[in-house]
Amino acid sequence: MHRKTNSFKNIPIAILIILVLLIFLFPIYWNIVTAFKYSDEILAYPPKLIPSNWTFFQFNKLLTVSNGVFIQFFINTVIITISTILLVLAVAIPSSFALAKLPFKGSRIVFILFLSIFMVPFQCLLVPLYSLLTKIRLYNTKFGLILIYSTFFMPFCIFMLKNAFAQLPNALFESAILDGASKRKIMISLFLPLSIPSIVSCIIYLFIETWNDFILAFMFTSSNEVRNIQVGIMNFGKQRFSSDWGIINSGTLIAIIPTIILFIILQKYYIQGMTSGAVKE
Amino acid sequence: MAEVRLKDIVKVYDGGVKAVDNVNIDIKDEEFVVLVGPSGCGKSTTLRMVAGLEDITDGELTIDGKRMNEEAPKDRDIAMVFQNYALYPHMSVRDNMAFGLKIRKYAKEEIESRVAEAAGILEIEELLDRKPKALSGGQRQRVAVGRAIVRKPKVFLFDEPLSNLDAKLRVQMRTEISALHTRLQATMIYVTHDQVEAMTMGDKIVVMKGGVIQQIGSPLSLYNEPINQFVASFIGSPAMNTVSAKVREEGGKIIVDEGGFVITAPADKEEGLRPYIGKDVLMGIRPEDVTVDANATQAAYIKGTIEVVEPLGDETILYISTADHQIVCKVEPTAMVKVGDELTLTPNVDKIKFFDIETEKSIFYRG
Repeated sequence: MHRKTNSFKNIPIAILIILVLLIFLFPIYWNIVTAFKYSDEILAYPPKLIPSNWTFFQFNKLLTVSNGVFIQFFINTVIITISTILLVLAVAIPSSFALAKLPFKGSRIVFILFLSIFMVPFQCLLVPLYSLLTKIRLYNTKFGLILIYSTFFMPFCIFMLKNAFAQLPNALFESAILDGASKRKIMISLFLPLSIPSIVSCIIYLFIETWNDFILAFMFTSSNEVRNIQVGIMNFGKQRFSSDWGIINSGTLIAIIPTIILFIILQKYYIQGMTSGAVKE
Repeated sequence: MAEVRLKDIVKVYDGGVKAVDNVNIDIKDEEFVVLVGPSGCGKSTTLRMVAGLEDITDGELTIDGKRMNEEAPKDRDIAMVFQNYALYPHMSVRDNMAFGLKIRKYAKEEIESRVAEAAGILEIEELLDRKPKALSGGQRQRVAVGRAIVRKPKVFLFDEPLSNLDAKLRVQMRTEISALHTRLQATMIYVTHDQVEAMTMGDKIVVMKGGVIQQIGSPLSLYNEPINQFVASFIGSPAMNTVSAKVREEGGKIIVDEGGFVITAPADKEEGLRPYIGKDVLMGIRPEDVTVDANATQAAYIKGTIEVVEPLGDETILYISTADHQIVCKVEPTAMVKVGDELTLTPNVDKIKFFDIETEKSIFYRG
């Protein structure tokens, strides 16, 4: 039946949506225009919503200051992020498969223990982790940072993948067993391809969390050879009595680009992952 | 091909629930055995124990004389067709069928020829490159069967394979699976809750209830000689009417009287019914063993009022309320009857079954 919609009724909702969008998008807009302004215009009063002259001056400064250390930060972040994603997936996929389809005595408790890491605010662990990392000589190393990220972000991935695997019918597993497949073969040939949306969701989650991390990287790194992009931007954007907003904004703009590209490439799977299991097929 | 033997098989789940109790079945080579019973009767559990998907708590399973209890499912040389098909959604039909062979490292040519042969038998050649989601329910079921055929296993197991199909397709697939059995000459074990499937497909039927085998026999032997009231009402459609009736002696004859359903026991049954004089028995009559007859004799009759008339075209089903029960009858479609009519029917006395009201066992079961 055709239902007539009252378009006037929707006007307040539309206004509200636009207002919320403005609040969320304005900082990004401000970041973009600031990155393309000359330094004197950045702090001009009244503020200029649109730069009078668009320039790559800030980017040039960002990439050349301190012998191009920004590129070092970028590479560090790429290495740390990709290693964290690989390490977490390498552990989380088999663990989740076992928890979902190969129940063993105490598997529920193991799962709850994984989730319990979730429940502890990571801020509480900063000091003990600091002393632990120092003791085992992993303070200010990429590997130390990768281990910490993996520990904190693993539980969510196990939670997500375990549910994804558990949703797949047992008959599939049993059918493959009767076909003669080993458990590893079943995991790789059947369960992985059928759980791609959830795996992609995990990759996006891990990428965003690791790439954008500030606190952990700030706590556990002290040299430019190890620092990630977020800590790096802050470090050389901040001077003794002022901040170089040009460098900070151009650095931030470069830092958010990989996340946006990744999301655009993988969003199809991500949306599938978010809605998987919502409707019974 | 293979002989399968289940000896004193018991399955107890964690928590002490006994799903299967002391099951003994001998399945001959090339035999089509159907396990049938209501939900939760242990039929699927029994099948899964044969497959190796459930551990056997006690007893022994042998295939061709070799003990299989501890063997892994892949080493039992069996193939199983699941209720929900269990096709691998991301693989084409061809890859689905070839998956088991690839794992067993068959030569590429051998795999191709087996898949082609199975596809030919099941008439699914044109579907080989499709994914399961592009197939109808019937086609998926065919692929699932095909996946079993290519393996050329010793034993085929079917776990309610037709229950997700619509009624028409179910009838068609039923005959196809029967034809497949004739063609492959393989040992097959088939689980269903549908007694029509059991009757039409099985060489041998195993009726189960509460984890216990009630009776094993050919379809007709179960129909004609049910061991107890459960088997009597489970086999046959509509189900056998069973009513409690009083046994009394009158002028040297033994009368079994429900109120509206009264018979004089035939001579060969008198001896067996004598111990029940003054007591109640369960009297069973199949809907098809009743005729509408205005001249019903005093020796045997069913009197009642018609409550529901179901004309099916080739026959008409009547629901008649007698003194204390409702009796279902199958009558000729020409019978001029309507709801509310008082009716007298004649039961075929020789076909009437008597069951002990306490044990529910057939009083005249001859094994």
